[in-house]
Order: sequence, then structure tokens, then C-alpha cells
Amino acid sequence: MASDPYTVLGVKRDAAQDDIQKAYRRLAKKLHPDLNPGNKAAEDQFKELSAAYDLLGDPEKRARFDRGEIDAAGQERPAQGFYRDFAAGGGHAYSSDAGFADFAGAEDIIAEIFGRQGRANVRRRGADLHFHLTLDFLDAINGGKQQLTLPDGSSLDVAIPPGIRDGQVLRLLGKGRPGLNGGPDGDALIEIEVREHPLFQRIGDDIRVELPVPLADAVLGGRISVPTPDGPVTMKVPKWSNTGSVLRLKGKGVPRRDGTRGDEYVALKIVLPEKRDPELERLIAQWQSGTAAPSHASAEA
Amino acid sequence: MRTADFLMQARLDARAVDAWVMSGWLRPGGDLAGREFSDVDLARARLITELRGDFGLNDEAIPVVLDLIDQVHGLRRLVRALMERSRS
Repeated sequence: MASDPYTVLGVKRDAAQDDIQKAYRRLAKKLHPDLNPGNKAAEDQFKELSAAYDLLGDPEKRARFDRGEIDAAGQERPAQGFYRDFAAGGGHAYSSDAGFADFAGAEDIIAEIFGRQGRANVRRRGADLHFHLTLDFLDAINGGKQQLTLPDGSSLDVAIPPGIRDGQVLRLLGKGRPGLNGGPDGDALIEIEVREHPLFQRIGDDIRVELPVPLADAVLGGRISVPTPDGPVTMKVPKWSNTGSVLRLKGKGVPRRDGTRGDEYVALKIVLPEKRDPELERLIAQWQSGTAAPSHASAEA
Repeated sequence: MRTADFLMQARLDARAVDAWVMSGWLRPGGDLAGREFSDVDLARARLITELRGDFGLNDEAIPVVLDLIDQVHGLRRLVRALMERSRS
């Protein structure tokens, strides 16, 4: 224990008082126990360093030591409680979880640790639980009840509000971990993912759908069936509708919170009959050469 | 301990302690009428004294260092708990 204080500080016996202070500061910064909370060797070295500096940092004591009046161990400082001896336990005003508060999924572990250590008498809100729920497109538009199976095998009924969006997070109050010491329960946070639909595309609160229209209906107009999230409806296609024309079905889009709904936009796409039709080919050929009899057009109108 | 005892043990004057409490470096219990200091507060006050004196840190660096030290202790506590858990 009683090493030579000059060796401990790493200075020569004739070092200036200033240099001794500098040497002490340099070593103290490295060895201070509160900056090395897990390093036992550093603590012992720091104690030795403190004792050495106690002796040599004071010119009067240093002179007495140099004269051999006191030995190196004679002036050891009384043991003091380092901050780390108290800080290590947690449960005091300075406890900090800032170093890991953002670890995903660690909430329950952290709650357990901070719940068990020191804060046992503190009311603490239960941790939130995070879930992921994938919905079919139409279930997201129309809403309804869904069942979520939890990792522990139990299940949770989730009411899906109509019109929920991809990426939205539902918060089920009080469905998370139980609170500690009478604290409120945590919440269940459910992130919603919505699958794509083969026909419908959602744009804000509106729905877009591409609708194949038979050639005859496109040219002459007619009533055709259109799929909507509520089921098919009949829509009037005006005469001479071209591919790319967009018709609006008011109020057939996504339900909004205020009870109104977005619209459905129907983009027309003209399709020829699947089977070849020799008569149609003949008519078109006549029409193209400008020889189509006027009687044809008036007969079909 | 009450303020008077604390000042004596920490070898600090009341103004310094007031300033440290106002800056949040020290967070004793009790209220303005009568603060109640614990052993942690005392050890922390000693640490602050050392950081300012022996280490030559200026007052702007003190809260940074204190916060980092507290974070390290929080992390060490987490690691320790995780290790205990994986052992059991």
C-alpha cells in the first residue's frame, strides 16, 4: 500500500509543485472510480494516487515526507463513499434509463428491473405492448372486429374503425402489461398493415378502379356493373366513352370519421370481345373505307 | 440529513449548494422550506467538487459528465439484471 508517492504520481523527487498537481490531474482523470464504475483495479490505484497527492500536493507535508518525518502510509485519507457506491443500486433521484430507453421491446425488461430495484414503492404504469396486424384491403375499408392472437396464446378482440390506413397504429387502452403498485395498466399498440387489392387502389379517401368496358357499351352507352368496396353497383356509361375516361361514383369511397365517404373513380378501359367476330370485322372494314351504309348506324342507335 | 449537516459533511457553502440544486445537479428530497439530503446526494456533491476542483472541469461540462455517468450506471444496472436473468 505504502508505495513511494513520487513513483505513484510518476514525477521526479525535485518536481515543481505545479508539475505534481498536473500529474495528479492527468492520472485522476484516468483512474477516478466514478469514471470507471466497473474497474476495481482503478479504484485501488486511485486510492493510492489520492494518498500520494495528499502528501505531495501539500508543500508542507511534502517537506516533512522528504525529511522522513512521516511515511507514505501515514496520511491516507479516510475512506469516503464514492458516488458509484450509491449510484450503482438505482432507485434514487439520479437513476437514468436514458442510455437504453429506446431499445425496442425492452420495455417489459426495463419495467421489471426498475420495478424490482429501488422503485418498488413507486406507482408505475405498465409497459406498452406492440403488435402487428395485417388486414385485407376490404376489411380495412369496411372496418369490423378482428381477433389478434398474442404470443402467449390468448387472443385480443380488436375493433377496426372503417377506413383505417396502412401504417396507422391502434391504441387499446389498458391492454398492455399490468401497472405496478396500483399504477395504470399499459396499452396495446397495434400497427396496421393493409394488403393490396387486385382491383381497388386507395388514394386518400378515394378508391380508384379500372373497369373493362365492352366496345358496344363504350360506343353506344349502356349500364354496366362496377365493383365497389360495398359490393357491385350499376353505373351508366355515357355514349362514346373512351379508354381513360374517368367516371365518379359519389360516396362509394372510403368511410371517414365524420360519417361522410370518399368517392370511387372508375377508369374505363375499352375491351374487344374475346372471340373474333367476323361481322364486327366486316363492319369496321366498311366504316374505315367510308362505305358503311348510313342505315347501319341508325339501326343500331 | 438536513441542510446544515449536509453543508458540513460536504464542506460546501450554502450558496454553492443552492446553485447546484437550481441547476439540477443535486436533487435532494424535501421542499424549499427544508431540504432533505441523502447519502447519494452527499457522494454526488463530493463528485461534483472533485470534477470542478481536481479535474478542472468548467461548469458547462459538469451536467454533461453527470448525465453520462448516470447513464452508465443505468446501463450497468440493465446489464447486471440481464445477466442474472440469463443465469436463472
